[in-house]
Amino acid sequence: MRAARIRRLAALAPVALAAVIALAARAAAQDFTSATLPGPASSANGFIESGLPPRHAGPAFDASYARWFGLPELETRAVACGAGWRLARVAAGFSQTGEPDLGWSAAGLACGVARTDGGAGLRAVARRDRSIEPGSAAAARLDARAGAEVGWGAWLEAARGLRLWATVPQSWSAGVAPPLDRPLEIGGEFERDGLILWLTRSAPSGGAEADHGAGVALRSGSLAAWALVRDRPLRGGVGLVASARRLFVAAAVESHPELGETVRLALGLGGAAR
Amino acid sequence: MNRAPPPVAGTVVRHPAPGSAALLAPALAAAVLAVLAVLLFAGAARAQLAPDSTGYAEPPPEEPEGADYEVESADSLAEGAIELGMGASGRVGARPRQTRRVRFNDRTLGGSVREGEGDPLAGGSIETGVLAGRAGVGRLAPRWGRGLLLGAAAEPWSAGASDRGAGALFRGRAGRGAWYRLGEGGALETLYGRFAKRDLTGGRARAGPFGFGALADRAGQAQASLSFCRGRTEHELALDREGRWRAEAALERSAGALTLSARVRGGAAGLRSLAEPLRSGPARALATELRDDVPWGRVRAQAALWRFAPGRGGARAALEVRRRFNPRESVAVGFEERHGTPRESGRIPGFRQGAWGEWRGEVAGLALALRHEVLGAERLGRAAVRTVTAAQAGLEGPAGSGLRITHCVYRVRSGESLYLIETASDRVILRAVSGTGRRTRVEVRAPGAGGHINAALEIPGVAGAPASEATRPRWTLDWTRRARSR
Repeated sequence: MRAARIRRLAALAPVALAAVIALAARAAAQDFTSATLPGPASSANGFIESGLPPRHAGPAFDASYARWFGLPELETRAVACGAGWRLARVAAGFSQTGEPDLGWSAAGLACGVARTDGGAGLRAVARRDRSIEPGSAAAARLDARAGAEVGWGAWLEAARGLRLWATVPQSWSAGVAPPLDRPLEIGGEFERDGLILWLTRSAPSGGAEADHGAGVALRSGSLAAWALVRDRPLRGGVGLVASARRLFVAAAVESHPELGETVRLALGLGGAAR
Repeated sequence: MNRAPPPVAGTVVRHPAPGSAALLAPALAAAVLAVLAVLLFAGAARAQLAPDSTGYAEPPPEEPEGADYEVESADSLAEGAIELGMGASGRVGARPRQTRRVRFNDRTLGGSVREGEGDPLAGGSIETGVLAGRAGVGRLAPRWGRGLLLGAAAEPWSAGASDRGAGALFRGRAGRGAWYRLGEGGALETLYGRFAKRDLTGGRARAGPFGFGALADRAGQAQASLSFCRGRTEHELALDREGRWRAEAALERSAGALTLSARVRGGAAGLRSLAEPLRSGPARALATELRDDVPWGRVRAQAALWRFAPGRGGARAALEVRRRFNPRESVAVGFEERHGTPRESGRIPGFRQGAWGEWRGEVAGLALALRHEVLGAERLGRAAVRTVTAAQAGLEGPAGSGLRITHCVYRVRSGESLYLIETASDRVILRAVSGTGRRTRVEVRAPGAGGHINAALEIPGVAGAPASEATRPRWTLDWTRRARSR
């Protein structure tokens, strides 16, 4: 009986492999990047970043750090706090990216409703250049030194362990263009017995084609390890999430064949680490 | 706490021990396949989270390609009810368009009036009981028999027009004029009106399953129609004074949940409807549809072959499978292949093959739908000419209020047209878009001023793209109130 089960699981391997190969998206996270898994947010930063509200209510605080493509002058530091009451979820945060003369600051706010089997939220982020040269266009006009974007996200538990989501981080934007164009992303994850598989698809952006991501995570007790692949170009990453009581720590490294490695770290209190 | 879907009626459900591998493997496969289906096929050009029908949304052939098309919804009004509506719409920074409408339905008198500058649906119609029958003036969209002379289907593969005749989904506009019907179900019918820039007079008489009708214009051109209709069998023969004829036979048979319908048409290419020449359809056509309403969902397969004139024809095959997991959740996948052209004039698109996938789910107060469509000029949807991915989230609030957000990302090759479906309180709009872009539509519904207020904001464009007329947000505000007149 056990051998038959193993054979059946083994038979799924080509399907999973095909999925990974066929569906391997740009690193769509931006100012409030989180080192946790994609999908419904498990942290306040994640909620602001994707608009996908966390299923669990309760106070949460987390801080994250990202070094993009190994560039020390391109680092993002973000702090956010969240709260929930009954169905309502809310999060607010602040982020800084880059060095004082080239970087920018961002403030984010997300609000939404969530249950254990679904949720929907709105997100808004406002950015401002950190350094404004006197006499420049940026000093003269607000829309030349600051920008804002508004988006939304929704997720639903389609079947036991199967969650599907859609996130549109930039439905509307104004002022200075966001540093990254983030189109509609749809995704799904399946979780059973500590094993999590997920697939994502980001809609085409500009002249580029749609891109895809696939990942697998294993969770054992308070520890979860995950790996993902993305296409265009083909690349991958690994991550680790550890939690103890209400505290969680997450780290992720993603490699890009041309641009180098992106390292992300997160430390949080409250919420639900995943 | 995870939600377990309720078992489908008629199926046997086994409950393995929690965590057993026997449960894991098939569930894993099903999950991977379901997610793959959604991700790979989520979203072609129907943008489109619309009522379920196979194929891609397109305006009728009498409308120009690549332009917006609006059609009136055919929702009914209860006897003794009166509906008032006021609306405004426009683009940010531009002069708004105002619309007003009144609809009423009494035992003897019913009608509607719409007005508004630039409103394609402006106009009115009124009907009342007179001389033992019913008479009306205003909008005309009749259907005789199979529609060879009046009320043809918009697409060569469709069995019936969705905007012509009584009981249609939409109130189309074939012409304007007056009509009179006498007897049960309109045994005797006469009409006079202006159709396609031509004044027409016509009449039709029905006796049992048979019907005979004739149309004539001021220039002496005339056409006649002889039809037979019994149950789900319907035939029609139409001819003109030059002796040109067309005939169509339509049959439908059911066996349990399975329904098979077939339609065959033949005749002269030169015979064009006096009333609706641009909707005359092909001279020759063969179409069949198989529909199986199985307990778990529905399967629809369509095949059609047609020819307008030598060198101008087409063929189409489509399959759609809709799987309902429970009343609140379903997945649909579809496939379509086309050859030639579905229009009598204009460019010939040639070979097109595409597929679409759609998932819809709902939990208390929250709905989510994902859709992807692709239509390509080569097999398996390659050399895509239209690609659309859409997501829609809906939230239900108290007192009938609600919020719905729809976002779609599309890419349309030059020369191709894509129509995004917008559903307003009194109309359906097929919004023509082209090129590469994305669009968010936010709709809010709330009770107010004794009725309902519907507001919509449509945000087009791409983040960071330069502002232009096309990227200005478009808005709509509409108030509707229904009341009893007595």
